[in-house]
Amino acid sequence: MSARDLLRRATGSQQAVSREDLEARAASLEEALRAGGERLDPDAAGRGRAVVAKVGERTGLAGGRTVVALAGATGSGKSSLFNALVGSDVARVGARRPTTSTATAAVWGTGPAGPLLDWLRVGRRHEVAEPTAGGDGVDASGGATDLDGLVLLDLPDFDSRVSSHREEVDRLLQLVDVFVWVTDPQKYADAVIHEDYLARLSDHGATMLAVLNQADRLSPEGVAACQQDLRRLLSRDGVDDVEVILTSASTGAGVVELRHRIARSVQGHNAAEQRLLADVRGSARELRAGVAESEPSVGEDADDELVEALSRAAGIPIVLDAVQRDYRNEAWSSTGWPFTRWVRALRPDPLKRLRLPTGDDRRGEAGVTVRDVRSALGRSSLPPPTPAARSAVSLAVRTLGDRASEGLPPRWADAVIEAAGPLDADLGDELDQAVVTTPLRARRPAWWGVCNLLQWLFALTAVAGLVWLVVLAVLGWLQMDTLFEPPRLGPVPWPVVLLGGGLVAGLLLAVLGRAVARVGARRRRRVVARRLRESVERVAGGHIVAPVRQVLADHRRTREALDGARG
Amino acid sequence: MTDTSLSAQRSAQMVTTLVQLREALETARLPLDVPEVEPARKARAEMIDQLEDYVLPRLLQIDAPLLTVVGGSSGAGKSTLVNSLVGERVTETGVLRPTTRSPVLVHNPRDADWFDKARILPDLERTTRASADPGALQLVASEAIPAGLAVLDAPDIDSVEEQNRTLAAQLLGAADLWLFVTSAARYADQVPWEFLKQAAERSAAVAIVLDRTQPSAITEVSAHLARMLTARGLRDSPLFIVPEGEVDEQGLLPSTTVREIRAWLGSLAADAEARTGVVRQTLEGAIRSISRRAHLVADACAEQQQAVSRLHEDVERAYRQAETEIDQASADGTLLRGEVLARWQEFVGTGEFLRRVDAGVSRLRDRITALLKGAPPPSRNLGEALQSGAASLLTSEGQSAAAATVRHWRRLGGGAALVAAHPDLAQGSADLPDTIDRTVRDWQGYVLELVREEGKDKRTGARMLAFGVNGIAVVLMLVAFSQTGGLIGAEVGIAGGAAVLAQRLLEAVFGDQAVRSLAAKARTELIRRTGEVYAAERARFERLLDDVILDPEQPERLSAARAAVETAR
Repeated sequence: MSARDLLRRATGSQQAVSREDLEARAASLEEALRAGGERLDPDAAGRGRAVVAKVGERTGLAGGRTVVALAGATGSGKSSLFNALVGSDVARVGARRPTTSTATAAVWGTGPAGPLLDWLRVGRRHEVAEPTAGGDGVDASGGATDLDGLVLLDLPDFDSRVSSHREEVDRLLQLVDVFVWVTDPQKYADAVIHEDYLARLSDHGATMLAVLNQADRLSPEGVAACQQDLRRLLSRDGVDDVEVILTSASTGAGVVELRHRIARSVQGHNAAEQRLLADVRGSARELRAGVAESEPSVGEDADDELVEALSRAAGIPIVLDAVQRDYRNEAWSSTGWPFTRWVRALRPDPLKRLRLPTGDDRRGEAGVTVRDVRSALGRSSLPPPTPAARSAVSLAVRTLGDRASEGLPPRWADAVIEAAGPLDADLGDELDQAVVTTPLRARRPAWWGVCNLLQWLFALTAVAGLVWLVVLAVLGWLQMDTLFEPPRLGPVPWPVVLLGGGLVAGLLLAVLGRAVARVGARRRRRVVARRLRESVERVAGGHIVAPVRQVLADHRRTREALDGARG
Repeated sequence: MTDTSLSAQRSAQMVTTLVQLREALETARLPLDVPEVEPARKARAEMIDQLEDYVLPRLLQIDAPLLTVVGGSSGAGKSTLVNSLVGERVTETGVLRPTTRSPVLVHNPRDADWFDKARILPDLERTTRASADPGALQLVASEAIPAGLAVLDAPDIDSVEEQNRTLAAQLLGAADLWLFVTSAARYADQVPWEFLKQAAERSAAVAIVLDRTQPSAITEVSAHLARMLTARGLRDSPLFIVPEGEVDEQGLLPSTTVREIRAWLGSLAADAEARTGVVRQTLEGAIRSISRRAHLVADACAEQQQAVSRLHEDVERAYRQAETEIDQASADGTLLRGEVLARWQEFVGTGEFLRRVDAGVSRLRDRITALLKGAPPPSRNLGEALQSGAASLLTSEGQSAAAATVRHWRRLGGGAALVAAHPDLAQGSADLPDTIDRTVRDWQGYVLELVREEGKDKRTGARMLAFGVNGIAVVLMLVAFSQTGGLIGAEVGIAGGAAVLAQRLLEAVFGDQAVRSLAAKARTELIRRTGEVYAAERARFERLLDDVILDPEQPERLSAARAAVETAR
């Protein structure tokens, strides 16, 4: 026994198939088709959907009937065999080929068969009045063959010049439960039956029978050799454990055995499920070929290369420079020398120039805040990314796509790469929004206030000194200076000390403040850089990594669902 | 006499033109999988086979015996019929299908010379023993076959053995006369009728044998078959009926049942004129059909060439697009001015401090330009990381071009199969990033060399000048800063002035035109080097297309050969 047989036995294709199992697997297949979507081979997916639909339709039909089809080449004796099984001449038999042009159904038993036959779209129907057990239906071993529940179909041929016959056969073979392949010593090795039918339906070995009809036309040795050869050809087609029954419709030999064998299928009340299960599994296997064994793992976070490239494309170095300058400007407006502070106001605000929010919600004179402006215009004035920055993003995205699509079949790989996407307008806008919505300023440092206070103090001191000196000068002019001799600090009079000290201290503090502001600006730059990086990471995660992960997750779901359906 | 020599001359001319046509067909390979190529490929193979197996040998030896090929469905009784015609068991019969795998040719001993390998069916080995090798042709000499006639038992046309089907088709193509055997169970099958349709199209001489028919069904079946033959243009073909009957211990049918066929064949063999008639009919039909079908191959050939040129165009377009992108990207002066300036600084060798000042100067200059133009300040990224910037630009464009080409190819006939066979094409070659890094480094070296060449004699002066200008600028800025604490525009003014000076200096050293041409040269060189790298990338696609060597003259040659055949007819 080959490993394949063992597997076949182990997976129980010969055993009864429960309705629940079939429906669960069909649901799995449906789930896989949904998850896989357009990334599955369209033809295979179309067939898969047809299978799912068929399972729903067939299991919805009441009656627990079994549809058995006699299929074969023209002249092999399908109709004669059909008549022999039915027990009366229902189907037309003749020497002229092809004889049968539409399918004929024979129905055994009293259960409702109308909906089933409507579904099969078989118009020619015949009800078989089965004699009570012990009558016609007694086989050689003496047991009653109860065919109650059987719908036997006599199909047209599939090899004649009349192509409509073949279409009808192809349609019905998709729907029937049990296949009885009728062939004869002349035609049993024809390419049509083996290549176009048996090899393609090899999944259904469990619900197949082969009949070598017209066995009476050969000698017994010839028949045995033919039977052996037919078995060999069947196993070459991939259907190993199919019985080859020898019959002769004209002498009636073997018909009882065939009837008995068909009865076994009917009594099992399971052929429909087995056939449908084989369809589901076959379709799942076909689809599974377009799905990889595993998918590359891609973390939620974008890698450094991608974030770096996106940052550059978003103009973040420019923003950071502006932030740094902005900090210095702000610091200067608090800690600078009060007499020259206003000069800075002549320079443009670096953040506003890029139309970035300053976190400054104070109402402007016209009652319009920066935020309002942004919500009206929506976009910063950051320069567009340079070609090099653009290409760095494409490269990083491509690297991610390549990594995430490694080992995937082409359709999935394409989907991954497409999901990673190019640096398009959407991404550009998201990046811009990420920058715009990131707070670029922080709390005003306390030392600015202290410095400010000191600066004003020094300024006031200097002014006080100056005023004192002016007063002294006026008094001197009025020759009254001797009256108000200013106190002296050593040799230097106090007003001069006040003026000079105030000025010098102010200037020194300004220089000191400037140096400290430099350090602070660098620190602010680092803080904002971290925030911006987080924002860009979010964009990269949401816009690039998440879609890729979604495709990979779809792939996993498809794979698991197909494995579930395949069993 | 004149008549014979005229016809001999005509047939010699015909042979020449047909040999030319065969040559043209032989070279008309159809390697691309464009839609609709399969029928053309099949037609080409069939035509070559038919010319070699039948038409040319037949034309050269018009007096050779009439070759009757017994063909038909599996199990119709071809071998039994041949044995019964010969009167002895020359070919294997049996119940297992397919029975005959190796063809058997029965001829009169006097005709033996006609059937050696050089004359007919050159690719089949001759043997005198029975075998199952489909590549062998068993020759049997028998007195039962009249001289001037040979009967060939062919394998079936419809069994699971594909080799049999191919061989049968080839043998029927080489037949002067088809003895097409079918049976009561077979006569409406699709496959035999396809063969009969071909025979009718080629006006091959056909006789039908309805074999294995139950005596009771003979009338009905034969009438139906006759009607079918008439409807399909084979009205004039003789129809013989062989009823299903007992065979003797040798496996032969009673001689009465095949008497009619034997007599008909005998009369053909005896009547040289009738025989030549049959030969001529089939031969001319074959030539007509070949000549008619040759245009199919010519069209397919032209179609292939169009496909190849479309594929070429796609590669061309994608990479040209990539080069254009790079051209545009480098048209932005930052890339080149930054590079030239950097090399300049390297060359002139002003110290690290001054270099920083110089960088500040050029930054200011950019900003002033931006201010004047009203544009936002340019991003300095490219200048800062020129090496990685240019490299990633080139790599990315190269990758995009490969991806774009593959995308286009997938949509084109013939391209999809090539892409599927070479999945690695969708990306640039594996060492593309390395190659490009190397290229950019080389290019930078080139720019340095360029600057060095230009400034060879001016180096000292340049250094002095650079030091002078930058030195003065620094002193001025220091003074201004110490005066104002960097508060007023003076430093800007000085820096601006220094920038102008630096520009003037560079221009003074190199001359205005020289600077411009330096930048232009650097750019041209970058594009040229990129072009080389991309050419190597493109070659990966073009190699695939080069494997598809197609002679542009091919369709015309085929048409010309065909026209010559038509004229000779």
